[in-house]
Amino acid sequence: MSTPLRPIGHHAETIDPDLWDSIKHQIDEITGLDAATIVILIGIVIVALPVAVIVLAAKKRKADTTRNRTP
Amino acid sequence: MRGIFRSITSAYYGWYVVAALFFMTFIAVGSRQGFGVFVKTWEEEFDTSLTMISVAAALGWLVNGVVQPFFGNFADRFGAKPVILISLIVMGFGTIAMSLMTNVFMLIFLFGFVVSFASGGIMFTTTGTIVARWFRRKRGTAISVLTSGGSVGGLLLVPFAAYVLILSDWRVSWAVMGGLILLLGLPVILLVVRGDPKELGLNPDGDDEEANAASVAVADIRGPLTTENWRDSFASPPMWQLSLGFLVCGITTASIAVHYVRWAEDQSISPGTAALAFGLLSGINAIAVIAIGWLSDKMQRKTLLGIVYLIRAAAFLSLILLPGNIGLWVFAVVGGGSWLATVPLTTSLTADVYGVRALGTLTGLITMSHQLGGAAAVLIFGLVFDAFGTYDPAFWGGFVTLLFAGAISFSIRERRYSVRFVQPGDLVITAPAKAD
Repeated sequence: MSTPLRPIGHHAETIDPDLWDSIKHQIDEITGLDAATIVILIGIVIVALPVAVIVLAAKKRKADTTRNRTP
Repeated sequence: MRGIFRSITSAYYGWYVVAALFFMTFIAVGSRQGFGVFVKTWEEEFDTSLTMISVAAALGWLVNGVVQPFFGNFADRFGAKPVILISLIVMGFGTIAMSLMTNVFMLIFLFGFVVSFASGGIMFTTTGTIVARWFRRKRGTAISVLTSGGSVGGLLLVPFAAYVLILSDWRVSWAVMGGLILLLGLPVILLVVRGDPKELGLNPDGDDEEANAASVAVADIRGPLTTENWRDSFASPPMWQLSLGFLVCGITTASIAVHYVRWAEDQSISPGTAALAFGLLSGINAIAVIAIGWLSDKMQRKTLLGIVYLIRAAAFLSLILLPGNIGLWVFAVVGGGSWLATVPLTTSLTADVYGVRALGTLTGLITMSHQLGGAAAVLIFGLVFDAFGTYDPAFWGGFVTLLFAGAISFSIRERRYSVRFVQPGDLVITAPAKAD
């Protein structure tokens, strides 16, 4: 019988280790990038996402406040 | 560029809330999915077996499911935002603490209990409750965007954690993940998320006062089954219909998730091909969930929910009737279209029928049925394979339960019970709902 470490991800199940090995192999083959570059690229996306949301939401609230003050 | 920026800042604030909660789902789901990457490393470092590590994963799955109704109830009573905040802090420090583990028992305690417990407070039970307050007409679209955060989180955070592991070691990976949860998650929640549009003087969907009859927020319109007490919902059919449908969803996704690779091996399919099919399923899944959520705002949600279950039934049939290497791809394409789509449809329909005041508890209870059904199915599918040497009888079981889920979803009387179809003459206006 298989183990609970086999999931492919419906809600929050963990990824299967063997599948991950195959996926990693394919990422390496397709991109040809080294690990540091991949970490930096994905890291930028991970950080940029919340920072963009915070900045744009602040701009939005500021714009709404200005609009409401305008007679 | 300035035009794009202007159109972004002119968007309804509810979409900023969705974007912020999308990120919460992204990190809550993505960081838990990364667990599998570290299994081989832990086996060696802790000198333990795969079975012991599996205990942590399995326990985490159950704990995460069982806590949903409790977090939902807390969200209904104290507001979803404080629940998400506290959960995020516990999850962040729990994740960092995992970088200090020295044996498998600490893994079982920290991942199986602490992190999985806390991440339960950042799931659709709480985040969906907030989004349901911000949207009514576009509720399906908004919740589907929120749901897709889980898929994107898995696609980005799993490789991120794995490549950090290659660059340094597993302790650094978990410390970095915990740091991301705290340093990025907390500011997003504190600075962007508001529990209710009323906090900013807004109405659901950004409608102006004129659009809301007699200046009454549409969130306060009651349908025939709208309730403040979650217990009342069990006296009406939709709660049972939705829970039973979602139970089948749990049975059929968890069983495939856990036994997919074993089935592929049994069909002489290489792990590389299975991985490629998995990638295709994930990609289709992320796109399909948003498309189906958008569609559900244009038509009856129960119709789409029934269709989604029947599509998944067809996917199960492909595993039984088609040759393995063809069934694998047909399942990835057909099943991928139905994989996550049940979440926004079920959550939106629950909010439409029972209102948003007890939505956290109701969604939590429905989600718990999903997780428990999934756990039981994983065991049963394994026993069936051991007994018959093939998954076919188990797949037939999944197929039949999906037909049942489709039929039971079609039988929901949405036009009668959903607030979306309440006629002006039927309206009952209540006092404003408590804001988060």
